Amino acid sequence: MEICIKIKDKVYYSLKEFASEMYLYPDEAFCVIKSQKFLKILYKCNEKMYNIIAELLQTPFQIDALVFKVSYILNPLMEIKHHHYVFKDFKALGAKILSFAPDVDIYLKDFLKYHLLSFYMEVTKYDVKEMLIYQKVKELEQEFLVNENRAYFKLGFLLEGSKSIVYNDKRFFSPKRLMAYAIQPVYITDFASSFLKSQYVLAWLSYLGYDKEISLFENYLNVIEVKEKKNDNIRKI
Amino acid sequence: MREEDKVLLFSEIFGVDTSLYVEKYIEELRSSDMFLKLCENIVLLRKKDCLRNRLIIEQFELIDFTKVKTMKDYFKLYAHICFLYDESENVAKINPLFYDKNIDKIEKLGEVNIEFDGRDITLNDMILDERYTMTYKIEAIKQIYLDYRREVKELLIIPFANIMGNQDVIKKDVSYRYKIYALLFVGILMNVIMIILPLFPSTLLRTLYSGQLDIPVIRYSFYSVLGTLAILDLALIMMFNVSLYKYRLFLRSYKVVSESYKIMDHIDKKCEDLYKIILKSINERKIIERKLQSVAFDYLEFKNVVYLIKISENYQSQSSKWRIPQYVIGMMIIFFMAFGVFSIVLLLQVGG
Repeated sequence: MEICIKIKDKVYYSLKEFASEMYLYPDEAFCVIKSQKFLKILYKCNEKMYNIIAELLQTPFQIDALVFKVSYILNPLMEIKHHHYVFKDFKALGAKILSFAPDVDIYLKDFLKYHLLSFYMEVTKYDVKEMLIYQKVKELEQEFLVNENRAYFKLGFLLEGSKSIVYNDKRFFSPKRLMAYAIQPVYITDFASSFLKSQYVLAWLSYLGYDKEISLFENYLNVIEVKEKKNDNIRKI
Repeated sequence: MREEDKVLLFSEIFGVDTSLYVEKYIEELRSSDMFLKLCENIVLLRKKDCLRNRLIIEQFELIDFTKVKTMKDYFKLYAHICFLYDESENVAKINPLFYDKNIDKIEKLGEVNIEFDGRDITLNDMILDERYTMTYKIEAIKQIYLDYRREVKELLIIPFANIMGNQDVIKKDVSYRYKIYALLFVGILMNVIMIILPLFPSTLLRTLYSGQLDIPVIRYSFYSVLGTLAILDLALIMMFNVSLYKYRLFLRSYKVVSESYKIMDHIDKKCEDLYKIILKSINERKIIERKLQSVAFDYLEFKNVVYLIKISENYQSQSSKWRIPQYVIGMMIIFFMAFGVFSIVLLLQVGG
């Protein structure tokens, strides 16, 4: 069956072709996906695909996430493509996440938020090939519900596979070195402004297995903050 | 807690040397409004003796800025000061039975703060809170009341019972003081003797008092008697001035012992009345308008008991304070020696 899908000034003549470029026009692609005309054609072409996509459309969804999932249903053999980003492998995705640190990219966050990465792994059968990484990604999806940023940066470290961290264009291999650098009077204010908010450093330490130290630190914070919760005005020094 | 503080605390967990910041932070904390206000609050807390205040003061006295060497120490101290500050600011968290109108800043029983379901709220708020069942409130109040009673037991009943068991010691103490005052009486008597001495029909004595006696030995010994007596009087006045007020207080408090059963009954009745008032208000869901003064222990009686307990606790030191000072004893010995010499010289002269 001949297909012709036109988005902006581009014309696609196959579902695979359309799927491979959906990430460039997520809103327009979504309009096409939900249109009755497209669904009818899809039903005629591939009933199985149609059923999966129809089910996705019936459950609550986010447009970018839906477009991502539909694109891999239509064409599973693609690089990782999401909202204008293309990654040739997981390492590239991890490196991209860390390259923005300590800032968080809201579109890259979707990989955990809407379980896109695990979906991709399942579609490409990566969950069977690299079961350990798949399981860790699933764990991070759960952790994301508790601490979004920490889980996000942990995903970056997990995928990139690096044991070091980059801060202020300097690479650090041990937490002690990093903290000694960060508490210098010149850097401390800047470092402190994003330290807890972004969770970049804590994610790195958690990835390295310093969870005990992190929980000790969080306990200290809780104790102090509970005790200073009252009389804010007078307490500040 | 500032973001920089968190970074420093975190750094220390990883063994980073943060000593560069410790001194600066300590200075900030020492001159912070919170710490200064805490010091002011402690001065006020010292004026009222109760278990809660004792505990806060005890903890405050443990604060030692010189021991802080790391940021971890600093944050422990900081948390400790925050806690003490919050506690010391909670002026309404008092035991109503120990209410003191001169110190406590609230007036009504309903304004007293209690810890209910993990929150500090007033008795009235607890009564009006409809999220909790009556049974739950009564159970909570029962526990709070037991805490109040425990404080009464520890601060009043047990020390009072100890005093009752040591009545003999107190009696001995009282009799010892009577002996001291008897000695002082002798001093006063000597003054009287010296005044009435010229009234005796003796030419020698009258010429001596008029200063016309030509016998230098008698005259000088007489002047030395007068001189030492004047200094002895001065020493007596000083001693009386210091100890008579305390002695009177002690005697007044001592009377409390003879009314011990009445006082114990009073304490029991006050405790039970307080419990009944609160229970009634919970059952009727009405706020408590009653004044704290009416549920607290009787002021004068209570002060007497507390004073008796205090002097009993410091029995040894109090005894030594009230003993006749060394200078008074010394002056009495010198006076009696001067008087003895004068009497001998006078007798020898009359005999000659």
